[in-house]
Amino acid sequence: MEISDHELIQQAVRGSLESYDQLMERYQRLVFKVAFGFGKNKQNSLDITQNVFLKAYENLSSFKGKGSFRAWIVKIAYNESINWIKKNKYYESSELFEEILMNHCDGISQEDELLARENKTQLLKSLFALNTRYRLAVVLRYFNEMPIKEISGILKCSEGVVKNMLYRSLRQLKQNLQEMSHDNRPRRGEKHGSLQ
Amino acid sequence: MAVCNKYEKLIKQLIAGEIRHEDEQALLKHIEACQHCRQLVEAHRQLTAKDVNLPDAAPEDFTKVRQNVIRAIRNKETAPKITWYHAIADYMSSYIARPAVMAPLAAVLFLTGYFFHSIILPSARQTDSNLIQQLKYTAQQNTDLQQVENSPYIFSDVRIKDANGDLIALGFNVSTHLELVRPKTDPLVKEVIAQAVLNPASLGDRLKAISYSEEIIDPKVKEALIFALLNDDNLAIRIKAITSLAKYPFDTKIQDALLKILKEDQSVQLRLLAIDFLTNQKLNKQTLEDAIKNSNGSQDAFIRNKLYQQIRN
Repeated sequence: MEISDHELIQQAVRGSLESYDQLMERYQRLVFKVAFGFGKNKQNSLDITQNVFLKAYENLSSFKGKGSFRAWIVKIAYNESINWIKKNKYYESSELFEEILMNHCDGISQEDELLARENKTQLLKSLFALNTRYRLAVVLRYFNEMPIKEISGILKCSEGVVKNMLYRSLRQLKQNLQEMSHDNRPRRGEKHGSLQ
Repeated sequence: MAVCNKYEKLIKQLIAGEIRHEDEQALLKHIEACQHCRQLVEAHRQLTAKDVNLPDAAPEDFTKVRQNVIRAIRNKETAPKITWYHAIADYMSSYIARPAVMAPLAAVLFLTGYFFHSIILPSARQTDSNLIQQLKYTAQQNTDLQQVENSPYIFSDVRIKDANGDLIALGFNVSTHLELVRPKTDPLVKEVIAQAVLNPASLGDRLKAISYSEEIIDPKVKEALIFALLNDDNLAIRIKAITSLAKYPFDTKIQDALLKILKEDQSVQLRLLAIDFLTNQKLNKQTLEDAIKNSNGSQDAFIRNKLYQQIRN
C-alpha cells in the first residue's frame, strides 16, 4: 500500500530526507507545470521548481494538514513563480516556444506544420500574456486537469468565481489572438498577484 | 451579444466539464452562427485537446532538482547560521579597496560597531545561540511523551517564573549526549576527561576516564586526579588516581597531596603507594619522617618500618 502524503510529511518533519524525496517525486511534475506557466522555458521552470521544494521544506512543520498537500504546494509554486517574475522582470525568452512546439508537430505535412506552429505560438503567447492569477487557473485546469473545486480552494474563491475566471481567460485569449494577428499591437503587460 | 449572454453560462459549464448533453448540442448549434462564441469554444477545445501542451522535463532533470534540494537542505542544516550583521560585514567588505568610500564609512562603522558590540550582539547571542536553536528545533520535533523521554537533551534544575505579559522566564541546566572524534590535545577532550573523573558516574566509567587521563598531561586533569585521590569514596578510584599521577611531572601539588595521604589517610594500601611514589622522587628524608612522626593512623608501626626501609634503600 502506498504511503500517504500525511505520513511522508510527518517523517520528513522528523528529519527523514528520504521521505521528503518521495514527496518531491510525487509532485515534481505538477510543480514544474505550474512553474512553466510563469518561467516560460524548461531551465527557468526547473529553477523555480527547486526553489519551491526548498521553500516547502522550510515551512513543512507549519503545514497543518487541513487542506491537501497538493493545494499547499501549488500555492507555494504560484508565489515562488511570482517572486521569480519580479526578480527577472526584464527577462525575455526568444527561444520560448521552440521547445514547446518541437514535440507536438509530428506526422503532418510541412505546410500544415507551419500553420499549426503559428497557431500554437499565437495561443501560447496569448496565454503567457494573461494576468498571473488567470494564468494559474488556466494552467491548473487545462494542463493539470484539476477540478474546479480544487482550484477554488487554491485561489481561495468560490467555484463560480473560478468558472468566471476561466471564461474571461478564454475571452482574453481570443482577444489577444485577434490583436496579434490583425492589429500587431504590443502585448499586454503582466499584472502580479499573490496567494496568501 | 444579448443572445450570447444566454450561452455564456453554457460555456462556463463546458469549461467546468459539467455541461449536459442537450445543452452542449444547443451550444454547438449556436456557434455555427456566432463567431464570438465559436472562438471561445475553439480556444477551449484547443487547450483541452492538448493541441498545445506545456512540456514535461526529463526524469533525469527531476532527479537533479531533487538532489540539489536535498543537498541544499543538508548544507543549511550543518552550515553556521549567517546572521544579518555578518551579511552587512560581507557587503561592506567589497568597498574596502576604495579609500574614498571607506573614509566616511569608517566613522559610521566604528559607531555602529560599538553599538552592535555593546548592546545588540550580547542580546543576540543570548537569544539566538546555536544551542537554543537546537533545543527549540528538538522541542518542535518531540510531539509525544515517548519522544520527550528519548530526547537527546535532558533538562534539570528547572526554574520557572512569570515575566511581563505573555512571557515566561525559564532557567534550567541542559545536558545532552554527543559523540565526537577529537585530537588528544583538544581542550574539549581535557575538559571532558576532567569532568568524567569527578562526576558521579559508574565506577567503570570513572576508572576508564582516569586511564585516559594518563595520556593527556594537563593541569586541569591533574587537579581532578588529585581531588579524586584525596576525596573519592571509592578506594579503587583513589588507587587508580595515584598510579595515574605517577605519569605526571612531579610538583609541589602532587607532593602535598601524597604527604597528606601518608600522614593521615586510613588506607594502608594508599599510604604504601604514597611512600613508593615519594621515595622514588628522592624527596628530602626529613620531610618524609615528619609526615609520619605525628601520625596516629592504623598500622602506623608497619608504615613507619616500610618508610625507613625505603629511605635506607
